[in-house]
Amino acid sequence: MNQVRKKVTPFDAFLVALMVVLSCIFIYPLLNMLALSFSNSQDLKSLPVYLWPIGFSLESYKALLSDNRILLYYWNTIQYAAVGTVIMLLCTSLMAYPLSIRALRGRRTISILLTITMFFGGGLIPYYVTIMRLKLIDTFWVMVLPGAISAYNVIVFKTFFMSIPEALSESAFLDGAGHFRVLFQIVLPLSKAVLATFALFSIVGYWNDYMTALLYLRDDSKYPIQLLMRRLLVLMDYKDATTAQLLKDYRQISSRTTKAAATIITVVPILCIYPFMQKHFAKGVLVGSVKA
Amino acid sequence: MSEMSTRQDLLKGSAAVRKEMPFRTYFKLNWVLYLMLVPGLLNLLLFKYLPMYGIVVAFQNYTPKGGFLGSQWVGLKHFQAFFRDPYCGRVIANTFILGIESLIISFPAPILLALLLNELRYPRFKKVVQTISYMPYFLSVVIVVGMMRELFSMTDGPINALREMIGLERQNYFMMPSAFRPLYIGSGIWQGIGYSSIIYLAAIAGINPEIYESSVLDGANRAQQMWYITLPCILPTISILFIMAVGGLLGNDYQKILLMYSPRTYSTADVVNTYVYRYGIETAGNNLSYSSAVGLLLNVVSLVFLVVANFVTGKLSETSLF
Amino acid sequence: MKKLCALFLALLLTLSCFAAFAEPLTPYDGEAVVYEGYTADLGITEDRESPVYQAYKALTGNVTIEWSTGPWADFDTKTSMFLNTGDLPDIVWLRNSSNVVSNYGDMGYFLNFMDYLDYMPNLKAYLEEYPQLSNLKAPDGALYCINDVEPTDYIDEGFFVNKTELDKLGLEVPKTWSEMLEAMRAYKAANPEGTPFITYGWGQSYYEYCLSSINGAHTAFGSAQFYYDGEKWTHPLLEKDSGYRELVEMMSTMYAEGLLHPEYSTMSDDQAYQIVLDGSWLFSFWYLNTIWGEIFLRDEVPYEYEAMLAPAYEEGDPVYQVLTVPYDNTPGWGYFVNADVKNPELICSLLDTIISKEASELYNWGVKGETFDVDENGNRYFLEGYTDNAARKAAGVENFMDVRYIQYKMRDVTYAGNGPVARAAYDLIVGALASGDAIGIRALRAKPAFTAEQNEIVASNTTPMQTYIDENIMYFIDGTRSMDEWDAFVEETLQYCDMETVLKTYEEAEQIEYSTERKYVTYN
Repeated sequence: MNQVRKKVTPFDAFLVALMVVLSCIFIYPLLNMLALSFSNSQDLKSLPVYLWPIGFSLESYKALLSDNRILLYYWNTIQYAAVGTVIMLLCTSLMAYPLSIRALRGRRTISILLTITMFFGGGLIPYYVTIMRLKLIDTFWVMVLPGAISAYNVIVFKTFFMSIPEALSESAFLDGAGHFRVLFQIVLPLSKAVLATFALFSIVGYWNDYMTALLYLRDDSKYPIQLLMRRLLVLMDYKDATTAQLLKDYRQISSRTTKAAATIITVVPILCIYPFMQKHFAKGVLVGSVKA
Repeated sequence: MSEMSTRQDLLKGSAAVRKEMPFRTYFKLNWVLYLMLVPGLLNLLLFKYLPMYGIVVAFQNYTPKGGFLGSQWVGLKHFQAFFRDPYCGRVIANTFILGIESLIISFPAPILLALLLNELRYPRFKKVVQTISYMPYFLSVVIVVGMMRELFSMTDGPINALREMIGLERQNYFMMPSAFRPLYIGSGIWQGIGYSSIIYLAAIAGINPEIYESSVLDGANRAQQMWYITLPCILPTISILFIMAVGGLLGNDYQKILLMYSPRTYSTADVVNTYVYRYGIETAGNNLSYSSAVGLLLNVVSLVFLVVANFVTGKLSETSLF
Repeated sequence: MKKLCALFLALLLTLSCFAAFAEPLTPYDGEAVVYEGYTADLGITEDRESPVYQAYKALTGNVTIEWSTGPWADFDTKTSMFLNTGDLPDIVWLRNSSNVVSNYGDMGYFLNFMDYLDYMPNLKAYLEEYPQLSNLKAPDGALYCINDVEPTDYIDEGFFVNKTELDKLGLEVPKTWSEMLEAMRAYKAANPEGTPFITYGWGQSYYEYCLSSINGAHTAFGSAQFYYDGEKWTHPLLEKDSGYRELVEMMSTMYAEGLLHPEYSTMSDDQAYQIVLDGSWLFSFWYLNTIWGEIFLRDEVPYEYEAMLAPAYEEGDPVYQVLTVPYDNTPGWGYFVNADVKNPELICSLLDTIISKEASELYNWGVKGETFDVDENGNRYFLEGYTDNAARKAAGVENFMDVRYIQYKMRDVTYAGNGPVARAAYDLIVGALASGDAIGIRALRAKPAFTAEQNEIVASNTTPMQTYIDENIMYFIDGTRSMDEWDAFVEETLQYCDMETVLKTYEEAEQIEYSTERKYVTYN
């Protein structure tokens, strides 16, 4: 925030150089994918692509986006991600706050109960049966409710909440505030960085998730986008003769360009979200909140 | 006012007050807190604890006809079968080694990146680098392994071309057992470092800048600031994540290993999960009991690791899970 | 008299009831009925307005199946969820019919088609004509799945030679293994960057599969596995004359001299395809009409290539050929129907239509007079404008869901739809088989239908043994272990497996025998 010194040290120069090199290493494959996705499969054959497409063509994107329900799938994913993330943040905060209070009786027990769920699970079939019994199969809610609480998230939130000085909540209690107000008006605003981080993780998780949709949804109109993308991303990797025979219809357009286009379609929307999250990572969130 | 001070006393943890009060009264005063726990506990109950009966399948000869309640009970038979398997030792060792090496190398890496990023003086450049750094996370594992194969290909890969240029022999990396772990861990770092560093950056953002300002007045340089301020302030975060990482030690990304390994590299690449996967193929997919048993075994061991790590970290940094 | 009349009337009524039950319900003209189905995504782009689909609609009437699909890679996960929880859609396509029937047949999930045979005249006829379909029945005689009918042997793969390169070397198409070896060596000497032998990037077991047709080694199904030798079950490592050692030695020689690509066992399909397309190969092995063969139709190939018969191992040895889909192969994929489905007679009638020859002809050839016609010899051929794959697809040929997955297989369409090189290849290979110049190799018995217990015994022995074999074969091939150690290797392997128990389990399990009769079809 305040730039006192402007003298550029050798360390600064080294750091910038290092970051540039690292950035190149991180970004190169995506630029490669971008180039591949715009390539013409006829011209491409099996030539290597570096940073520039070979024979410009939109055929891969056309092939992928030709499904006229694609906007519907995108909308579904956005809904799941938005609603799911809000529910997750709410439930996790509500659970982590009491656990962050050292005086709470039963705190240890609940923490242990939480930790157990990190390691032990009944497996896919009992889980499916439970969802079935709760009548959640093929509903909107099956996509957002079960994932609301993850032990990992609760524990990390709890740790962050515990690092907030007690003086703040104490002064609120003295003013007559109840726990809900303390949570929503003091603790959460100070935890913006954590909330933003986990919101991002959650959105990415929902964006990438295809397994939940695959197993628990029946109706096409509820499918998220990733289910469609996965169909294209993985099927090209058949490793046995019988599968290859079955999938010969898919070999019309070069798998390389289709895979690349599918990757770009998946990645780009998420990359647009991060800049919005970043502003919550700014320093100085705690400044000026402690009354004299 | 007196009610309020009692509540504050309670919440401040006055031990004498806590122990004396019966739970009923305690609950009445703090019912709000317990109310807040309800959505979370409900979720845990319905979606995590209700399906847990499935664990019994590890102790049965599961058949679809018998289901979970009716299948024949065999106790520890599957566990014994696993330990009697001639490859049991090797796959367990590989799992451990891979996990420990992964931890040692890829746990500090995002922390380092976060610290370095924090030192960048140019905010816009910093934002750009941050965004780029987590891009690899979104590539599917299939694509990443495909890229690795192209990169390290013996005949047309750039790495081998470079080796030839400087006079070294070409290497067939995907057939070398000794190359498996570096490739696995290296690609894992490349993919995950940016994304994992986000959480540390968030933690660093939460540090009160006044502390830095006062340290400058005391004459601290940047390195000292990093060592004496930044690191200690994010130590709770590091500790918690470390404990979790130790708990997750034995869980390797077996999908990735399946894509990367081949019989030639079994000696280092074959881990418990890939072995059980092949076992599943031999039984045409009807090995739920066996794979559940092995999975349960791994989970129990992981839990033990977690508890130990929690204890040790708790002693060292005063932060622990429970 | 009145009593007699009443009796007669009653008899007439009863008989007429029977008569009413005997008819399939398609084409169905009642109110629209929709069934929900689940199947794997195979890239079909069904167009319900296309002429072929319209003709299909005329056959079926007012009943349809709406298919849901999911990613291919997760098909097994999803379907095993159906099977383990009983939450099935109306109709589902499953991959491993025998396995499903033996494990889940008695759960009461599936409709027994034997109860509805009156509505399925085609199925009835097939059950009589193709006895292998009875292999799919449950022990109590119930039939839970409808599968493909393979009326003939289907040959779709073979060796290919790069004629341009062979001519450059001044050599003839090899008839023995030593000739082939010589040719590969000559090629390698002249083209250090080339790959004398290349096939798909499907790993070591596929290379074993291709090359096993040179010496007839018992690995026709990839890597060393138990097989029935006519008298008993045994394993390639147990028999001195199984040919497996020879096979490994062949590959080890090839690898040492650089006749195999150094990354052959780990390369990707794309990498292999690049080599083939570039022409930097001498011998290869691939499918005649699908995968690469089909792409060759599309791309301009800058060299000449043609099919060749597998060379014999030594002068005087027989010439072998692998059979892609033998006619009595126990079919894997099948349609299963939910036992609680609404209107079972209707869906059975629909399935019977799907598997009928009329529907298969529609699916494979299209509409007679529009997309294809029949010549004076009774052979079908595509009409003007439909010789191109894309045009056929647009008309709906080989492009609608129901029949795509299960049908009465008409293999003549594959022949007709191929390019000239593929057709010449087929003529050469099947011609040799039909005339007896080549011997078709296939197993005598399928892997038995194991019970859960037997499965466990076998798997707990074969998983470590297979791991040991796979790993050490690679050591032999890349020279880490010399072939002199082979006998020691066999002894070591047997430590990993209780052979006696496993072989006994194989003998005791439910056997699936294959016929030794062959039904080759040539089209000239």
